[in-house]
Amino acid sequence: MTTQRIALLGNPNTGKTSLFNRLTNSYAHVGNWSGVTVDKKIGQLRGNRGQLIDLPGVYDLDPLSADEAVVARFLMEDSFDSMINIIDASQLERNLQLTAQLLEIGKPLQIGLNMMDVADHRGMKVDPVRLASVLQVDVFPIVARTGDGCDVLLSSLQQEPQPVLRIDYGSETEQAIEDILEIVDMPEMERWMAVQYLAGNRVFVDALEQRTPQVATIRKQLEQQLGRFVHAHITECRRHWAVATRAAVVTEEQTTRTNWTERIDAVVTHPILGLPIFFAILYLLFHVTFNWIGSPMSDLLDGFIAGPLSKGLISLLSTLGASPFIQDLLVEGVVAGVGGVLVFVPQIFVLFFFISFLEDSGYMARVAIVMDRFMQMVGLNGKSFIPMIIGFGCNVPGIMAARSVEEERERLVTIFISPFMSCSARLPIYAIFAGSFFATNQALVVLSLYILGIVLALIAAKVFSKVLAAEDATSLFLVEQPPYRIPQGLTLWRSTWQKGKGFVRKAGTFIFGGSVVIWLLAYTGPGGLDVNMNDSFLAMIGGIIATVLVPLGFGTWQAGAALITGFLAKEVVVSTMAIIYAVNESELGRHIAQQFTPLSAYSFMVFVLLYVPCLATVAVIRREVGSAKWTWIASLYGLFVAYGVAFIIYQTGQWLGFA
Amino acid sequence: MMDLATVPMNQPVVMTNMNHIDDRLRRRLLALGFYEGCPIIVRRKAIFQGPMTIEQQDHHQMVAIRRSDAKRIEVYVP
Repeated sequence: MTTQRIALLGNPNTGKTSLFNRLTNSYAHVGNWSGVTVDKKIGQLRGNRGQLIDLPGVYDLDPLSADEAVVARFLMEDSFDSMINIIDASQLERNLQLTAQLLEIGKPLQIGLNMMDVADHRGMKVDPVRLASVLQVDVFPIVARTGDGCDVLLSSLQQEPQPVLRIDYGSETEQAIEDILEIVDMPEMERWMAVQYLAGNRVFVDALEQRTPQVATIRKQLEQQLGRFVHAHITECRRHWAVATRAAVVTEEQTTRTNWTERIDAVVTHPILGLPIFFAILYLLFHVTFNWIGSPMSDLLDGFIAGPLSKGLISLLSTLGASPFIQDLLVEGVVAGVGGVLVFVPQIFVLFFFISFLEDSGYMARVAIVMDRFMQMVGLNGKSFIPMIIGFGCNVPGIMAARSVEEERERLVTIFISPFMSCSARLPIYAIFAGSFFATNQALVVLSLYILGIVLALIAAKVFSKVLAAEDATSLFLVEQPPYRIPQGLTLWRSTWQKGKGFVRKAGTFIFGGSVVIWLLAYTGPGGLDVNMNDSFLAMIGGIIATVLVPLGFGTWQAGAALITGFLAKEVVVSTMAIIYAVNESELGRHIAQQFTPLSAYSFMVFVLLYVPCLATVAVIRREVGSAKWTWIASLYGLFVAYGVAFIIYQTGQWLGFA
Repeated sequence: MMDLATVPMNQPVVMTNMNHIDDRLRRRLLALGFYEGCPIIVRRKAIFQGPMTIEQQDHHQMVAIRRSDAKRIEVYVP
């Protein structure tokens, strides 16, 4: 038996990804923000029942953005056996309009009816049994957040073919559908495709008009006959169907409810307070991450790595009779390099936890509103701000999340400026430098770097928007405001782990490999093995760079070498320094304090923030922009910005008398 | 007949014409249950002519759209 492939479809913000997590053994990230499922994810269904394909949430099969087009293209081109449609019971009418389009396809379909509790609060009683008999499909009441009902859904996967839903679109439209079916020469051409075509679904318009250009005439004629947009007519027919269906299955009752969403929104999207509140939340996030939780935990971990672990390893190695070379490589190279980065795992997980919390709660959709006016000034869109915030965790998912920005020009600009968002891999560097030089104001200094990144990103956006500006520069802004939800513990932990594990994995691969190479470069030189580090290959390479860096305040070969290796992954800057100074994290700060001044330390942090995206980010930029030229530009313009800004900061600082 | 942007907050109105907005915006509004003839209410307006949040009263659907787009949507006070 071949593995069955099941597609999971539904509106954004209906708990689709939570359901995916419940039904499969693998994790997918969940967000209460339209467009978090940026790519189709495939998971193995529990109990080896087949594969579940998680598609981006859409309101309609008619796509407006790149990630929505994934759904229409999947349904048209990919093979799959059945569909699971998750429906938000509290928004039944809207959800049913998508269900209508899925039922028109005629593949086996099951409905997971989610958020019945929310509907109850609104005084709506949805009857799943009646819904099942009206639609002639299986309907399972579920609570995707807790997993209630998901097992039942999983154990009764539908494989029976479904009767095709035929909505009567009126005689003119029905005639047009028949005409299209007659002339289109496509083996798998079906009624629903003709309907999607007439409704103006971009994916089907491209596919059909390429094969049979005459279909365009049919559509134009129909538009004339109807005297209105065809899609408006078709949507209206579907709405009538949805309203009738809803009326048959819902009983309304009057309730007096306290609407928390309304109350919270009155504060966080307040015309004047909205923006200060947003920045206060960001500040709190960093303060908790660094001062309250992150630093104490990092210190504990460092104590363990520098103490028991290193000592244990040394005595183990000498018992085994390992050569001094191997001992040095492992203790001074690997333990110092990898350990220097691993100690920041707690801080990074705490940061990811808060980002996940904000995403799942629904606050991100409000941020888009609060920021839209300001983003418009630089030629962007309030929606571009969400990829930027996700970029604080890691630039890679941030750049992918830019797909939810509908306008192609705005999407490209969002991608170009994303590397200026200070990702968590840059944290270890700030933590060491800010910890050594600005111990009392650590959160404030780090926040200033994040804000500097945002400000420069906005300036860069303005420039790129000008360069890319077309004459018909339109912009689309429409953001659904989902009700606030308290993120659920398990989901939060899973999405935190999902994001954070990449960091741990990097420690085992890039950083491990990088540490070995750096240690070897520092250990060897033109004079042979075990040279004085100042005569090593690493010192030579770093020295070349250093001459250029003098005006920025950190013209040492150590800084130069660390910056080159930082291209692999930004954390490697710390690993490199730990190896160069052959110390653990707590002592690293002391060594750095001898080589840098507070001013040059700040200049160095600014340079690290801006200079180049890491290797993984460059790869994802290449994939998302699809052009080598733009990839080069996006990767390298930061270098010039970094040099200029660090130069200004250091020179102005000196002139003002800071050291 | 007035445009949506000039409607005061919390004033129930009926959407009458959205022929003059961008095609994609109209598609998205239709998909979210906003159609000509539906009852809506303005819930919030952001500062500096920023976006405004409107609610479809039949099913409490809330969306934010730009003030410049709202100017091109016609409504009437029932």
